[in-house]
Amino acid sequence: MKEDIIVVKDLYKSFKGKKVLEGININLKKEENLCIIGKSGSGKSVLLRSIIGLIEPDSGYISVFGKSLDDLHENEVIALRKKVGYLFQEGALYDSMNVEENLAFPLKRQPHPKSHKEIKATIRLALQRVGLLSSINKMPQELSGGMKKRIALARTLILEPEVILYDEPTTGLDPVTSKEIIELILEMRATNGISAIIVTHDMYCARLTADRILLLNEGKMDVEGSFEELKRSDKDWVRAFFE
Amino acid sequence: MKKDKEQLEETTTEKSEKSNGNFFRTLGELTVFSSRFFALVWSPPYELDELFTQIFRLGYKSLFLVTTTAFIIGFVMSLQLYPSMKTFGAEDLIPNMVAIAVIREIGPVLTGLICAGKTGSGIGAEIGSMKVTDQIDAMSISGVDPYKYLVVTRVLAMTITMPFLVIYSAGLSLVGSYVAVNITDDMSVTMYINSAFDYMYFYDFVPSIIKAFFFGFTIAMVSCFYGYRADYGTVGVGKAANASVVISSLIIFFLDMLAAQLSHYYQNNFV
Ligand SMILES: Nc1ncnc2c1ncn2[C@@H]1O[C@H](COP(=O)(O)OP(=O)(O)O)[C@@H](O)[C@H]1O
Ligand SMILES: [Mg+2]
Repeated sequence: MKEDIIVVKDLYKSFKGKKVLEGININLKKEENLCIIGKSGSGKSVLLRSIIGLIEPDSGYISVFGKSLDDLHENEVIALRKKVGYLFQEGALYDSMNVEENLAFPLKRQPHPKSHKEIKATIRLALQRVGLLSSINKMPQELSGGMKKRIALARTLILEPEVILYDEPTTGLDPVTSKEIIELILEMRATNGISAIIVTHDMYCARLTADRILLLNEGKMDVEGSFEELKRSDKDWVRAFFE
Repeated sequence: MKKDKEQLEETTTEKSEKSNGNFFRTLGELTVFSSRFFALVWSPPYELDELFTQIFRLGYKSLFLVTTTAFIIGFVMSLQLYPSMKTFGAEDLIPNMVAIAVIREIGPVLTGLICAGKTGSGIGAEIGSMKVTDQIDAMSISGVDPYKYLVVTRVLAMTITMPFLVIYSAGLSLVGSYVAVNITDDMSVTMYINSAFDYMYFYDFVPSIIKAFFFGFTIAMVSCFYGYRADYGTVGVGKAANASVVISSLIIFFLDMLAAQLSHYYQNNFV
């Protein structure tokens, strides 16, 4: 039995009376790729943001690497966040900085920053991994959607996270680019043993990446299984995702 | 269909709740937001690169607008004062009147409003779009405090730059006024300067500089505040930029009134 990396228990969140999450339970094991599937607007991003502490849930328990977010001091949350990477839906690259500066930004500001030279080398390495070393001097506006996501992934990797939360990594991308991103996700685990929560409504992405799938529906996540199991589910609304 | 209607109702009630005053709540939130500045400004890292970038961006880039408007105001004021002053044979007093008006009042307020328009909307839109594209969240996730990197630097930059802009703008208004005076009468530069600063005292300058600090602080802080609060979606950014300009302009007028009262009180009681 592998250890739990992220545990969520009975998570509730509503915005101005609008219920979004109504009792969510998750446990992510080490080196596991967990997919969460739900329609758009079902609260997938809210869930990921709660896990990393960007949104404060109304109630519920969240622990990351065995530490409950509630018990932690702000500094400790920041330290913990470093071990958790987050890939934003649109990449969230800093649009006033070029690609190199984007990657250097978090590196330079760590408590014990590396030397200038080491930072440069680290950046090149990270860009090589996502196959975009040639874009090192480009501005985000010059990049396509898929490139932005790959650069954003490089920026996440550079802090050497142990878990990555992917928010719709393939949404809005063409099939070829989707495939590239999916391969990167798989490679992260193969080479670095990174665990992942992948939030998506792209069934192709789910089929290729997921060890286990959870369905988020009306604020709850009662349905769980492998891709094949869920595809043969006896519930119509579950099967609807697979058509 | 029914769901659409429900949603519509929901958003409209939300809106009316938001606009229903809540003035004091927003003011409270602004105060809390601003107070973080004083907690964070002292501690490293100081982000000097970003500070200088912002000083350049916010100061230098509003220079053209400040130059034009300040010159024209000085010019036009002198021209328009001329006929009525001449009636009383007091046209010699024009430089002095313009100098007092420009240094004590028009310089700071005009520059403040121009910066609220140009810099305020710029900061509001920039921070707002960073908010809605998750760039601010991305910063805090990577262990960088976005408030420190974005807000502290911009507020400092504006607070430092504003007094210089105000002095510069007052100076240029006097140049404008000198040109106007020379169109109607001949007057040497030294004579103009002597006449302009004839009845000026040290305490005519000090309130302007102090006001300038507060105006600069206000513009940047209010704009960052509204940028930080921008709603998701494209409308959110526009609204943030708009609110930045409107609210910082209002606060500038309010502060100006307060400053006038205070300096009046000071002069009556201590000078
Ligand atoms: N900060 C917020 N304030 C108010 N409502 C929000 C906020 N964030 C998300 N919501 C609402 O929560 C619901 C779920 O949003 P989200 O998690 O972004 O959906 P998705 O599954 O597409 O990622 C949406 O209806 C959205 O309007
Ligand atoms: Mg989402």
